[in-house]
Amino acid sequence: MSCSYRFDPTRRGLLLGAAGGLALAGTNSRMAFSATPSEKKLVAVILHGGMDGLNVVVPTYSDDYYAARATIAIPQAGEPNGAIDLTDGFGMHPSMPGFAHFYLKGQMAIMHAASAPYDKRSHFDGQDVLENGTDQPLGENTGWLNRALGVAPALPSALGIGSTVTLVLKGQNNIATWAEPKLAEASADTVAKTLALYGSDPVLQAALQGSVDIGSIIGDLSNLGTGFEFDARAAGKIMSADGGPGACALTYGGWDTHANQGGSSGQLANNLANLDRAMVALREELGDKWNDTVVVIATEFGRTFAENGTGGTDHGVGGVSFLLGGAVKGRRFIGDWPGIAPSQLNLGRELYPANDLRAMLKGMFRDHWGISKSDLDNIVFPNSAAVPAMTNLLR
Amino acid sequence: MVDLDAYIAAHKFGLGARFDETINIGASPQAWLQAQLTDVSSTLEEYNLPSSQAGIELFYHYLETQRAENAADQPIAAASVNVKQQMGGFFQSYERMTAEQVLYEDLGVRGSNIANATNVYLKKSQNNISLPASNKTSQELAEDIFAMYYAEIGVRTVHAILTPASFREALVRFWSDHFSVYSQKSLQLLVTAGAMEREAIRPNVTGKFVDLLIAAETHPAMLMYLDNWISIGPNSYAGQNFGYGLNENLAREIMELHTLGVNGGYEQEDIVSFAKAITGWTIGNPNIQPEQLGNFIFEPLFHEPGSVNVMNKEYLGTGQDQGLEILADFASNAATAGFIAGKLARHFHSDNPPQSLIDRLELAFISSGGDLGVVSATLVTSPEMWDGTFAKLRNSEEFVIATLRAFGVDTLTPGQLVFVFDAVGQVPFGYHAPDGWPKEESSWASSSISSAKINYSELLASFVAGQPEPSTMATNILGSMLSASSADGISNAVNVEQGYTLMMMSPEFQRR
Repeated sequence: MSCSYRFDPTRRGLLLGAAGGLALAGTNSRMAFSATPSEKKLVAVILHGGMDGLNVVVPTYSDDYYAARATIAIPQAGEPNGAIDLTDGFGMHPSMPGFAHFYLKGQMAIMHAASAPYDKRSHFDGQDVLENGTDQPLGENTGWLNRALGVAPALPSALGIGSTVTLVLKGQNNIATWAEPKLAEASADTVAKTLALYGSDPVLQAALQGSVDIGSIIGDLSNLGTGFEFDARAAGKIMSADGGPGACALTYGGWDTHANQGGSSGQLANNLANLDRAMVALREELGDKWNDTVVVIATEFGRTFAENGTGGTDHGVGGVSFLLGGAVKGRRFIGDWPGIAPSQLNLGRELYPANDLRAMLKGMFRDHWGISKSDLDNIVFPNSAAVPAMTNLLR
Repeated sequence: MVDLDAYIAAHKFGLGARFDETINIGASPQAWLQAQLTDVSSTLEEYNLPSSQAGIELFYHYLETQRAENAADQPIAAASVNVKQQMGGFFQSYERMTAEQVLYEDLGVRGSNIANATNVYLKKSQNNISLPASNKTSQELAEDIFAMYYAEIGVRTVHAILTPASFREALVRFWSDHFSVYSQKSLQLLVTAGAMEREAIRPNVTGKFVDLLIAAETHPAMLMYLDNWISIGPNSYAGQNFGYGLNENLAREIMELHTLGVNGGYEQEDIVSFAKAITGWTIGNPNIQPEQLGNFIFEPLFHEPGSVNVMNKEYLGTGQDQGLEILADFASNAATAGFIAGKLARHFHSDNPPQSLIDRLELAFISSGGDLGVVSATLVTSPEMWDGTFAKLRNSEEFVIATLRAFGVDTLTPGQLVFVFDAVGQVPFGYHAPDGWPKEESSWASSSISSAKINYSELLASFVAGQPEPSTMATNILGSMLSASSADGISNAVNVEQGYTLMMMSPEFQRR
């Protein structure tokens, strides 16, 4: 026997759920999230590909910068298509008015020259270290956000966005998952009749019921926008629902701009505009809960200081990272700026990775979720006692 | 009325029943299973897929083409006869390759671009394609690389759907996952991950474990995935002259995941010693032994000289044999037998299998000297496997294959298959870590996967035409496994499509 088979990926259905046997245990579970709701929200945004930090938070003060990036540099504030002025010598990419607004309103702190403890240039290893929370590739098979769930006193639950759970959220602790739908949604009648088959299989019952529950929280998919904004809005809706999860991880790719990266407009600018729109949307969906929210944005590495022969940039260790949200003490740069004069570059090719991301994350976890120093040093970020938590990051 | 044992053979050992298959299995399901351990070839030679060597050749061709296209870039250095320059060229090339290597996801295989992925490759490969012509652009060569990857997934899936020897195919998947590699680590992995299953796993699933182990650990895909191809003995020629050092990844995972298990009685020093012993296990490339491009090679100039002590045994500095001797000792270590036995029982029986089953498999492993044919035959004759429990939740790939076997659907293109696997969260060769796909129910009983499975089932149901009506289908596929409540639900469906969907989503189909 054989048959014909077609796909219609344009129709949207929901892929929702609770991986890891979440809070959905029990045959009569009505709510998708029954763990203690956490009022302190945390969103981790992982940018896969290595975002070019120097064209995002632009060192407009530097002649070296303009000399090294003849075709892709972002003009100074005030010039046509110029950066949005943030503070002396630095400007935000012009495609990011939302970010600039967050910063100027005191809701964003910027860590430039940031890096996970990985100084090579492989995407695979760099992403792995960024998300596994150790100082080596494959150092753990679980992620720091998942491990943090288990040691935060409020025992928050978490939501993963994406068809497969990204490493930062993988692990023993319960998580729910949601993804932009790929297949048309099964009819409500078929779902109900399937649930009726699961009377003596509570595990399958809880899983399918969970998707129905989250589906009702999300509501009409056509109100979610498109692209990364779609993910961010969905995350905001689910997190802000009654009993919604305390944490969420989102991933967004497309930052590996080896060629034709563009300047104030072009490939990178489009991605940045999407990221900007998504974070503004997230804030909108979180509503009042924004005041108790921290968003962490990180990428596996930055890119070369100078543009290459194809109008792009290659992999380079020092990147840029952000903390934003109503709970953040913002309008400032955190960590050290190593400079970008020729002698200050790492190996003469890239921004020196002056600031260990773990220091920022540990400070955030301690003050936002009340995680103890010992748990941060040993469980969330194993063997990291030598990396002190930053202080004074939050309001 | 077909006996329950036929359904157990088809679903619990095999990859799910094809229509009427249980009638053919008939009264002697154990004989049906045992025959698959000896009489069947499953190496997929008939598909003429490119070898991993050809894949690596294609990768380097792509790399050089891309660099040549970049006018502002440095020309490729001419080959040198000076060993030191060759070595230097290798490390420079590796560094540069890593810095330049674009992401898999940015080369356009995810999301909507999947629909554009070339499906013609499968057809071409069946007609014995030749390597890409040298006048292709780097973009065209990148498409060939992805097409190779898609073809591997297409072929292994179609074979799994059609094969009458699905127990053997289940064993292939078990061992392939045991030696899991991640295709999306790099383009080199993309062109070798699928080939590794054909070249290292398939020929050895019913042979000696030590042969399977050596084939897997010396395969280019494994050497690149766990970085051993650039692991350099600190006192080797290359270590002394180029400042590169030891990489313990492969050594650690061999001990922890492939042989002894995490509690296998070794220490960190043993890992380091073993890592030293397997330095020099690398791959022929444009700078090092270029005449062996893409093949496993032993490179003495990378190899740490001298003897090593691993788990209280001294191994003399015999070059490549040093590592092979250690591997053979790992294979025959009692800890390995116990580790493998437990893993097989958890895969084929349930997350919490009876200890008696594990013990029986362990004994078979030890007494046969690690003969996987004997171990698999023991699984077949173990009474625990026939106890009539169906506790193991199918993972997403197993579920999709079981549905396609049930309805006899073998016409999906590789691109469509990858699309479906992606939707249900399990693209073959797509697990990032070396421990392979999650084994426990908790990872597969998620709402997102449950939802994806029901959406997929309804879609599949709406496109299978000319099949027996749902109740007949369910009885044929699930027989006496089917509960009264599921049978009722299926027969009360509002239409044929819903009936099929309910069959696929029933607990009896979800579990095995």
